[in-house]
Amino acid sequence: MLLELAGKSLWNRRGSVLLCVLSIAISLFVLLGIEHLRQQTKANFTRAVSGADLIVGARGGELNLLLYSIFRIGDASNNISWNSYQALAGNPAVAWTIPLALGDSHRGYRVLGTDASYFEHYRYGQQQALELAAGSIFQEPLEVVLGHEVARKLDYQPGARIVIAHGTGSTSFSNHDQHPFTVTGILAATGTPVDQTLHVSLESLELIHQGWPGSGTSDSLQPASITAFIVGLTSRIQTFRFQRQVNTWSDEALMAVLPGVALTQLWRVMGVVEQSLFIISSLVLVAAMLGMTTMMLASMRERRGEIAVLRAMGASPGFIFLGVQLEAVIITAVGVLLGLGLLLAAVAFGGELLLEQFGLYVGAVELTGRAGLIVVAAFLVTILCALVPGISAYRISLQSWPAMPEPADNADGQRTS
Amino acid sequence: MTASEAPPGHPNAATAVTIHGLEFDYVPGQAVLSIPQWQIAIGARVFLCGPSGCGKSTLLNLLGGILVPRSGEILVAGSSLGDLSPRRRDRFRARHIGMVFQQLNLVPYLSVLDNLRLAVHFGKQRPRPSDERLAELLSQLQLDRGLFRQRASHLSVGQQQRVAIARALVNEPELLIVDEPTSALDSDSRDAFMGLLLDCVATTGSTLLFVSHDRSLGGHFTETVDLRDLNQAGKDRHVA
Repeated sequence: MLLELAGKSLWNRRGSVLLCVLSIAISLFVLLGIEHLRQQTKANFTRAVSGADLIVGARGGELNLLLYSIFRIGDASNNISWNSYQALAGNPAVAWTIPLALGDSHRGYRVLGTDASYFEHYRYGQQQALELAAGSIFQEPLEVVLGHEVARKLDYQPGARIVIAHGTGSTSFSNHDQHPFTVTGILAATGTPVDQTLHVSLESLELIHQGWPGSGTSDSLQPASITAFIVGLTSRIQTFRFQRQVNTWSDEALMAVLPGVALTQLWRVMGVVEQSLFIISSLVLVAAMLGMTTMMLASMRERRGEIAVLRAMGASPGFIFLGVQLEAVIITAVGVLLGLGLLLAAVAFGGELLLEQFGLYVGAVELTGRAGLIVVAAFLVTILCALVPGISAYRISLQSWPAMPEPADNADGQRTS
Repeated sequence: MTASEAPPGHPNAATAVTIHGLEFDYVPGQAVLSIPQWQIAIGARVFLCGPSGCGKSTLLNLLGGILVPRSGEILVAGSSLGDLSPRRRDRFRARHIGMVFQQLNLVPYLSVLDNLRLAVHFGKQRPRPSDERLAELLSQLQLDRGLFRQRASHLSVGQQQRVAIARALVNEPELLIVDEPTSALDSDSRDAFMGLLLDCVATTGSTLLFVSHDRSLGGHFTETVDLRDLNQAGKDRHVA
């Protein structure tokens, strides 16, 4: 009966109630959305480096190295000479290496120069190897293997011929026009930056850059330098010893980072942003709750008569108080459901956009402990806020009747007493 | 006058209302009501009159158990209201006292039938009056079946006041308190309303306490009481 009454009372004021529900829904959408995005970003970054023991690049920021080598974010400060690479790759502790040469692009997608070891040793997600969805990997110079997203977005099939641009902007004025590449294969989707990458051999890159400043001077297609390389060790025990060897490399200033350590740095940087976003969206929620409190408190004036009627029928002040609380909880409950619905819809329809614009792969929404806590906190704040109109209603219900205003729907009623 | 000076306060089952040594004030020292002794016999139809501000509303609040007297005792249908906890007093009101105000007697956003069902809910009668019984009561008050599912706020004032009587009588209370119910009605509707009210009270056997400043209605009642004769506080003070 209490529930029915609260429901009908809310329906009676559905205009202002709807606005409250919307503001709560939006703030919960933001709160839960940030939480979801936080998890997804972490999962995304972790996904992309599941096989690597160390990443080696020019000395600089650890995080920067991780970002440009694996996530194609930002650019390298310096290169590694081919000789250093060869020497380090020959170390007995090293099981395999994947050379990475960056700096070119095709219509906004980065081009990665590497060799066959990439397709053999690169791991993502749960130690999964890369798979070809179509065609084969590159064998000859001027052949390219496309990431899944690149092929899908630009609608390339094996056999297509494409031109690579120098630099990493989406519009470059210096194209390698004389050296068009042929698509030989397309990789299956991975949900990592691999999907947004074009893979070519190191020799191809050397070939198209011949004659450009900074490239090798000889006619051979052996590259003079690479940007970074991923290392797989024979045993994890060797990690720190090999890392020290790289860090103290005398020929040039190099650095080896453990992906896990660099990621922890990333979380720390992101943590600040997350915290600020979390605080802001929490405040938005509190503002929405205060809005609801104001609405309910304002409605108490016009509900004096209704309360008096309920009291005359035999409702206790506690019943009146609980009714107001229940109304607030219903508003929040509908708001939470609507917010969740918004989030589900946003992920379903906006996930594509995030992937396209930011290379961020956003998976399905799952309610984790933290999201659950947010929802529980929302209800607690609701109950707390609703104390204000609830106590107001309680006090009205203790007053004697007829302390009633004009009835809202019958303006012709006259007041005499 | 204090409670000790009143006649022995033995619950008298033969009265609908018994008051002994009632004292009430909103502000200490400024007595609003002082009624040494008053009884309403079961089945009586009492017309309580008096000008505005003489304490009528306060007395009704006391009889309805919404206000509590400073001292003295109020018995309704044999139960002393002051002895009940606030919660039990609310339950007692739901079951044993019907109340109709001058206006706004219904929850505006509920249908006519839902208003009655709500009163039934608070009355906690076993067995619950069936919807058929509610419909019968409404029909007795000349309310068309087509109105039953209408929102209460969509009804005319006259219709609302008739639904209010049904709502107040649905639990067949021993005492029906009616406060200026006709002030918002024209004279034709007022006479029709009075007729229906008295018919219904006769059916349920409730004792009727009817409050108005309009003495022309006095003819409908078995007894007319002027609150100024009853109230020893007797000062002409304006109170809500």
